[in-house]
Amino acid sequence: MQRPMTRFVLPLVSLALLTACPRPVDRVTIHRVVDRGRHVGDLGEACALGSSLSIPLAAAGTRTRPPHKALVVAEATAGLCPEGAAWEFELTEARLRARLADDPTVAGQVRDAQLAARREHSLAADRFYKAFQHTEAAFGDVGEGCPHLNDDESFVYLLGMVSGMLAMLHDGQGGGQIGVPLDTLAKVSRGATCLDDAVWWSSPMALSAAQGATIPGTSPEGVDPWAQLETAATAGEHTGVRVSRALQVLVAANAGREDVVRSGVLAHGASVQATPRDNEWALLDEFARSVTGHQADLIWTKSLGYRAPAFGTLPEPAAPPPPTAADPFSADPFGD
Amino acid sequence: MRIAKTLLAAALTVATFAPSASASAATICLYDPAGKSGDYYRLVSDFALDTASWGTTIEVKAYTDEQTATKDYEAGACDGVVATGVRLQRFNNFPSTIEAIGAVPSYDVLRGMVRTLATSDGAAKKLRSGEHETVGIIPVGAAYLFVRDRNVDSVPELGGLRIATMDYDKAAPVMVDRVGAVMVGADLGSIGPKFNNGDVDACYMSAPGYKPFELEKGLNNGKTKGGILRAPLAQGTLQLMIRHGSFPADFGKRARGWFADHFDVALAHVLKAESEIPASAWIDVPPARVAEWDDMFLGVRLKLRDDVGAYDGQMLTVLRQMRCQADGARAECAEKKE
Repeated sequence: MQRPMTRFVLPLVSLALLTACPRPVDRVTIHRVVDRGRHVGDLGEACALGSSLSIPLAAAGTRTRPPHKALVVAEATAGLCPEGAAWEFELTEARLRARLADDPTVAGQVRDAQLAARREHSLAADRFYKAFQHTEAAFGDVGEGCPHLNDDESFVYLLGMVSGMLAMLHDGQGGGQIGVPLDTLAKVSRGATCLDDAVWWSSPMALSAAQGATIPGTSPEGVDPWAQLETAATAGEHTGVRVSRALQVLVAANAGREDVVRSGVLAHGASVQATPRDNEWALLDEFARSVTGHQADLIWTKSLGYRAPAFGTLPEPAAPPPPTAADPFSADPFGD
Repeated sequence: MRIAKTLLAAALTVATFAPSASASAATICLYDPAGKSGDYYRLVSDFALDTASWGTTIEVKAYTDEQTATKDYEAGACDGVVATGVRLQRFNNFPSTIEAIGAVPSYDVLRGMVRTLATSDGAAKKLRSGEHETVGIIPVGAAYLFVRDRNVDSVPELGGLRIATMDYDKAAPVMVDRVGAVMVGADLGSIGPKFNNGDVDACYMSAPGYKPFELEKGLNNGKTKGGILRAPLAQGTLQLMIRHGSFPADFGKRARGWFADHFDVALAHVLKAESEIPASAWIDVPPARVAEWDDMFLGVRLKLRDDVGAYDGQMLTVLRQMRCQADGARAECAEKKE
């Protein structure tokens, strides 16, 4: 029996080697690989698949005409590997930082975890940015008008928008090593308006609010980007694909809005209990869960030193000490 | 002897169970337009790691809204705040005067001033104002004038133009009034859209704002070709202000030294952003016109020092000395009006 990854990779690699035309590769990737892969709620498998496909796919077609749409999918999923690794180092850093006050000698270990996280953030930024660049190569400049998109292409375009946003955030966290242009988020916010909220679980609405929430004052007049993010997140939760909630949590975490992160974590947890996952898009709902889950893990780790024991929960604030009751033994019944 | 032993035991007990002074972290509310993925958040996080070895644990809280960060500091939600000098002007106008209009024409002069503030005992006294103390200055880039019509490169040509200015910037109304322009109130977020949409004819911004605010749209607006005057209007800085009593007594001096040592780390981000602006966008101001700009800047500074009280005279004097040290041929070196 073939392992799932081999099942996806072998036909594509064969196709990539046999053809110099990007279109069939794009078609097979979107119709076959995406169509099956989106049902798999396993980020590890998705990122391994993306990592293994990106080079053979880039080799398909000609140097000037690679299969851009297929590469959007491959690079975006490949970005999940270093993203997960960066998050693990962030948790290590948070755990060690909490000990700094009592033991300054852990500063070196904190620095090491911080540097390791930055490397992984840079790698993630590189892969997500490649996905965004392939999106622009396939569909034209993002944010400058809307391309004509069929249903399959809409998904690739959405993936490209999410990748652009993630590329910018990861590059910033990695120290700007990749040089993702700082207008990428503004482009994504405009480009997302080309997509239908009703089809894509209100995630386009969340993406279009991201720029305004990140840089106060840049929203269109009369639009409250934080209210827009909450509207998108709530609408998306009822679909069982909670990408817009995760985007809200991600933007809020970057902007230091811990109140929004906390309410987002709890809402995401409640939604998982109330609305079953849409298995057609299990991969994206799992991605959303990982984004929110990481922010919850950070809160737990900073507070108690360990990650969230259950999804969608937050540590209870420390209970005040109980009032001092009168000592029943003050008049010692065993005394003289 | 027995009493001494009892006292010693009591002292040891207290020493063992009393919470250590460093057990709770001081909080710094930090404004970075890019939030936790920003260069300044990263720099101050590195600072916070180094202060642990000084016995001071710091937690850095990111804000993308400067006003909220400052309000939280005022309300006591944080022990320190990182915000622009102009925003912190009302707490102490000595350090904010480093951003005085036209007062720092180069990054070398700025670097020299940051180092001087880190080492001078006299400056250390002036960096305290009541409970507030400025303990770090980070360069965020020279503010340049962006114009939608690149034919505008002289002071008289500003007359009648609509210029976007920060609502809380005391210097802007004086400058705009002096050149006969029209002030259009804005904040950091709305400057870009106003400039790009043509609601204003000019705005000022440092290079790191060029990409995020997509100012190339205002420069290439379809009607006229705009440009950026390569003559710094002022130096933008982020400043770390703390509540003095919440930190050890020597913290300020050590922190100022740390930020002076890391000046070039922060400046590298600025220089990178400046290099990423297309060469064709810059407008080189002819030397004769530079003198004209300098003269206008001087007039504005004197008014802000004498009539408005927004600038600190002693800081202006030292800045003039530093400018003249770098270029003794400047007219102001003989006049000594500052």
